[in-house]
Amino acid sequence: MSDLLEAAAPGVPTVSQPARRRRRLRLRLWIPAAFLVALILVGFIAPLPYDPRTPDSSGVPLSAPSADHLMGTDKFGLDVYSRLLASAATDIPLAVGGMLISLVVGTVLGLTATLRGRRGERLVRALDVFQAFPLLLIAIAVVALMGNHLRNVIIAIVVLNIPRFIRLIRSEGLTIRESRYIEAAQAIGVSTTRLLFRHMLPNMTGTILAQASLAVANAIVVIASLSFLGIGINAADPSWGAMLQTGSQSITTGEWWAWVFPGAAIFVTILSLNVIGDELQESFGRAVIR
Amino acid sequence: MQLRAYAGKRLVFIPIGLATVIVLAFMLVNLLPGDPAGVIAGPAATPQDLAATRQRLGLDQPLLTRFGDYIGNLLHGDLGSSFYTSRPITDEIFRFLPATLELVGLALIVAAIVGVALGTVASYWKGRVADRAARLLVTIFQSIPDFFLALLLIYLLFFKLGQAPAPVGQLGLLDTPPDHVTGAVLLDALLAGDLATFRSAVAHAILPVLALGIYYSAYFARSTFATLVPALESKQVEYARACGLSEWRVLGYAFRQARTPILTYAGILLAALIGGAAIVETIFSWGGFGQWAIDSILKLDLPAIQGFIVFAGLGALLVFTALDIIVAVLDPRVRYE
Amino acid sequence: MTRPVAGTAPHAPPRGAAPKPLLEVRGLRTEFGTPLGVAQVVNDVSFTVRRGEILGIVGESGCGKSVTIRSILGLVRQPGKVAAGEAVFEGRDLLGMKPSELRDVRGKDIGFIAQNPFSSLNPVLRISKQLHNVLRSHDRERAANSYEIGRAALASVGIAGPERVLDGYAHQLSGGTAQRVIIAMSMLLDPALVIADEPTTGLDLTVQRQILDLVRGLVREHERSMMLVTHDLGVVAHYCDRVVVMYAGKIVEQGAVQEVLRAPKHPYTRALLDAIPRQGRPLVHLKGRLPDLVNYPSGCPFAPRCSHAFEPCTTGWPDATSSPDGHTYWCHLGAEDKEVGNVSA
Repeated sequence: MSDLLEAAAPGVPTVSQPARRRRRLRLRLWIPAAFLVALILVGFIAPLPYDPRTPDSSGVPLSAPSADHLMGTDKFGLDVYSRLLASAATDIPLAVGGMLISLVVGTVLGLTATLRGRRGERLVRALDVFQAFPLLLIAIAVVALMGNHLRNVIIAIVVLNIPRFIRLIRSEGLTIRESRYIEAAQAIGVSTTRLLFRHMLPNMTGTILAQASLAVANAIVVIASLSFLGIGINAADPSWGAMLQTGSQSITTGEWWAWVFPGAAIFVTILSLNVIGDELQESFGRAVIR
Repeated sequence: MQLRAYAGKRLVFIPIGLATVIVLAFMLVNLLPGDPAGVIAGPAATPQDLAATRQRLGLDQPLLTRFGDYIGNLLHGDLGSSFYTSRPITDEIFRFLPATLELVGLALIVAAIVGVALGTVASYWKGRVADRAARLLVTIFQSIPDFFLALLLIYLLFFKLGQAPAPVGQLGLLDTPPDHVTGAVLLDALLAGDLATFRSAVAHAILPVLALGIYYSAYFARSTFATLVPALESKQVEYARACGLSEWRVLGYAFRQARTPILTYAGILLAALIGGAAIVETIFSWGGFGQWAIDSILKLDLPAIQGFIVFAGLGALLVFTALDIIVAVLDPRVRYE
Repeated sequence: MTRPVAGTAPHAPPRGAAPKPLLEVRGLRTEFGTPLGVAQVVNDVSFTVRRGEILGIVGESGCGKSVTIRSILGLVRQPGKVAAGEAVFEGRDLLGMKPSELRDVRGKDIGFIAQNPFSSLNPVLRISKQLHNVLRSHDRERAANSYEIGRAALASVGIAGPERVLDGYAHQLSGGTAQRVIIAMSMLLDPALVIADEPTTGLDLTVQRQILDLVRGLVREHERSMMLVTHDLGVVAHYCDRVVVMYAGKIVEQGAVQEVLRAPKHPYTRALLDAIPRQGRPLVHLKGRLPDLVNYPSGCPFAPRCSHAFEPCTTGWPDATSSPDGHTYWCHLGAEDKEVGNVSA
């Protein structure tokens, strides 16, 4: 009886997921989250000490970190610190935007796959085979062939990340579909869309958020790889990958600041996103092999 | 069902998958905007040069004709020829593949050893300090992009400590390559008994193998952890302990439960890394498949791009089928489903 | 005559030649860490298993009987922990042993019959190899002969054509045969004590009888002792000598099977007996749920569901009330019985 009542009440999660509400999200979640928020704010709002695109007169190429240039200058005389922050303002929104699109598309596809049974099975199976593909190469090919626009970078990110959402939604969906309260909802004749959106989706938000975080991390790697190779983002536009590329040319002469700082920025950003994703996954989900 | 019937079912899927990949590859390369003729002819080309280039490359033919030609050639095992070098693509692929296989093979061994060890430590001592330390390490490994790790290793081990050789390729600039048997320098040097070259090849391989190996160890660690933890908590392991079996044997039992996913992962990674090691190959001038693929992309060498996509697709399908069959051999229950 | 001191475990008076206890469990406490707090799953449990006897441990799901035997065998894993108590087996405290010593005891001196053979047997190893592994862990010399020994063992549990089973895998066997294999493995090294954890759950009724008859036969024949954990009072009635009734991690009643089942003293035992479906009578069932093991109630945990509950039931755990033949129960109603133990105020 109570199952039916709860099924009629929209959005109330009744599936007994392991200790979902009971666990408080821990410090390990909030510290990286705070860092990311700080990074984004600083990247967008904080005034940059120097112009990230044009070197100014004080910019001696490849000068070591100093009071003037906190992170030194690169081989064009551009201030590394300013360029680093400007890259954050380029790379991160790109990654998040790509993730959002792939999330929406992947969720829709995943939900339809859940309801289609056999055919859904085959779709997921086909997606699995793609795991063995050199996806990054194909992304590079796509962007290179379609032209050096940011739009194409987003397309590449989207295509690469849709499968993870499809797989997630489908696996969560299948489990939830078997649970009692969905059965009850169907028994009282709740329509399919309502079923999907009011009953099933709310229960997946935790794991969706977890995958979203991981997807952004993946997107950052893709963006960095593309700009490292000089594809997708204009050479003049600041991007961590591009900074890595120009900086790496001085690796054998010892000027480490030009490439270590952007590399560290990528690392710390991805680390934060991975930690957040893991924490969310532990709190909300079953163990999933990424 | 018998192993043979199971294998048969899986093998049937390959031609279908392959056909899909071929069509998709063709569409990708030929339907996208961007004019390779312009890039190949060069910025100083006159309109006549452009037209001549287009004709030479067969780009002036209608789409369907090009498709038909392509399929026709494929059936003969001909993937076309490079727009730049005019060499057959199949030749190019097999020229660069061995170097990548060598690199990726070694890297996967490192990744598997490190990753499975970390994953086992974390699973066995779950909840304790060792677990948290191992998992922290794994997360760190997974968060450093492999090309940044490569740069760090070059800086630390080559520039600062002088222990590793310069990243100039599979061998040093002054080394003579061994006679070509397999195309993989390490193996060829060994086969030729040329120990000096062999040692140089090993030295040059250390940094790229480490860069890839450490990064991908995270995948093995996570996969091991995800399967070993439930295995160690299973009724089977409890029963084995109740019978008084030693902890080593118990761990072995747990691994038998867990080994299938680990092996599957290894197979998939092997296939994916053939192209996935591209950027690291570029940094080290390794001369491998991935580096060639990236070069082809940047040069808009369309047949090469098409060729490597089809090749990668075939590789992925073969790997998946092989894995399915191996899993069926290892775990008798799968065959009976 | 026994006049027990308040709160201690009773010893049954000697019958015939005084049988020394094989296993003495005293004050066993096992806790599980949960997100909501620490749950007292086994809460001060004490009992004895004497030589040559079959002791039944009965109670509903979640009463702690399975965790009790796992605590004794050292099989409790994180987040569970044995917090206190002793389990003295043949003079040695199992709970204080080093892991390597305990491993020696397991399988050799104490055999284990698992509940579900298909969850317990290794699915990818041949049966012969699994038997070999058990032998090898304890007796290298005999292990060389493991195939022969295995064949004899499987024959002794009533498996016809043991070679076919030895050469095959667990999933090829029927439920009954698989359970026989488990039984064979448990007695392979001639243990003095066999612990069976609900050995017939999931089997067909006819097969259940066969399995239980088989186990009892093997136990009696070799004068072994057995702890039989079950939720089925019928099994207890037919196969056990003495019985221990558990509820919410505590023992509420224990004694000789005929005594306890004929004249149950504790309201919970009575309720269990009443709940057995009988022809012509309406179905009786217990209302209410198990208590919260994290915030363990003071007093008797059965009080909320007990129709006889009165004032002292919610304030303190009752003392033991014993009769001379070893039938003991823990209930405040005992104070009002003619056979008086120590009365708590």
